[in-house]
Amino acid sequence: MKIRYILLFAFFTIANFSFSQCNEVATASEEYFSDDFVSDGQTYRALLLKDQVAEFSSLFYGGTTYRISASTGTDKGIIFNVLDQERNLIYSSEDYEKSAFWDFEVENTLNWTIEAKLDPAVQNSGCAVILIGFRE
Amino acid sequence: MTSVNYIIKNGLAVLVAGLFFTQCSSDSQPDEVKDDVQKTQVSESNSGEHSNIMSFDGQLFSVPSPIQTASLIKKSGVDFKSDLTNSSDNLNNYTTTFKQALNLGVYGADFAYISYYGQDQLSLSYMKSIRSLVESLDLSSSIDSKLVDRIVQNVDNKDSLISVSSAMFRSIDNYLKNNERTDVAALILTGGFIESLYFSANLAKEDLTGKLSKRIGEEKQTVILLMQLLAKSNDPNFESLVSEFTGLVSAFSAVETTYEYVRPETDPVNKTTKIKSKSSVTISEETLDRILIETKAIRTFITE
Repeated sequence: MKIRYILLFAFFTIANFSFSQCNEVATASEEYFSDDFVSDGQTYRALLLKDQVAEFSSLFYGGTTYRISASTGTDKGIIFNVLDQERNLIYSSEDYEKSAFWDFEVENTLNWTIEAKLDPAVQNSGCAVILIGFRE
Repeated sequence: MTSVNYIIKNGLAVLVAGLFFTQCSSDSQPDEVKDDVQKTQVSESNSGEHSNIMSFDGQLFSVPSPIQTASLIKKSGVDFKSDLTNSSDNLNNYTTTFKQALNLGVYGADFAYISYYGQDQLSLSYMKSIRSLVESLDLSSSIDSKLVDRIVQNVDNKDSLISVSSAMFRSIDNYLKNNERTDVAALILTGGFIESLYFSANLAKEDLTGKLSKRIGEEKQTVILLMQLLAKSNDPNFESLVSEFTGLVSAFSAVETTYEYVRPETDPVNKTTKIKSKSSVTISEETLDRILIETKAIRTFITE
């Protein structure tokens, strides 16, 4: 019985810690967005363990420049990839020193998938936060 | 130490699993809706080549910002129509969390549309409605009071107004996800998206550039995925909303899209990639009319 309570306590403690960690990472990520870029109004977050990949799809309108940032709160602790609707790799931060943000000049409207994963050499678990901003 | 690691690892795994919604069946949907939804599901399952792929916050996609549609409407040169927005007089009708969240999104889209046309006083009136719904939904602590001050101070500066209000909606979204209220976050996004689509669908025929019609067609995948997202909730209110979406997805099934991959060009010094891939949309007048009818029906469901 005691073990059950300990596990429950540990679970809620971890949950609280994890959500508060996500919040801190999300707030810190805003530094990558100058006044030039307008937020899309959303935060994309996932609690990750090593080897796990989080992903979501998003519509990117033609004639727009987008900035995508990826953070975990640890320097170079995250890798993010952008794939097109046929799963062609458009960009991987792994090829560019795990840059925390990147800009994309989009000519035609496209559906993309954004993937994020931890760099196991840096950290084994953490909150991945992706932010998207745009300018026209 | 090993057991602590075990608890942490497994606790996190359970927590992450707990963030997922359960998938709903689409048995009651018309065949054309089923076809499009199934294609989207196949595309999703193809993307999950290994079992450790997860979605962000149990949400498989993002909803385009209403600000971008408002910007396109202004650029298309069509006149401002105040009667397209949801009157702020309706505010007191929204007494449930479900309606308040949806209409917070609606008023956010209205605010963006009004701001792009420089209707300063009207903008302030809608910001009051937004603030009122933020309080009703117990989200006041999500917004830095400095952000609200900046909105009032920048009411005559369209660009600042848009930028600050989008930062405010991101704060709300972050707060809701931090407090495991992803259902409310999804409703806000839905309200904003439908209001934007309502603007585009109403104004498309006045737009001689054709850009608004094209933009509507480009939303096809978003409409399908949004319905799937909403269908993951067991809340009866969500079920009613999903049933309203069925007709819209059906109308969008007549939209044809093409895609051609072209190798992108990357400039590492400026941290920029130019995307050269091509896409096209074909949408008939008849389909536009049907989309307008279905969008009006959902919008009425949300705002009345």
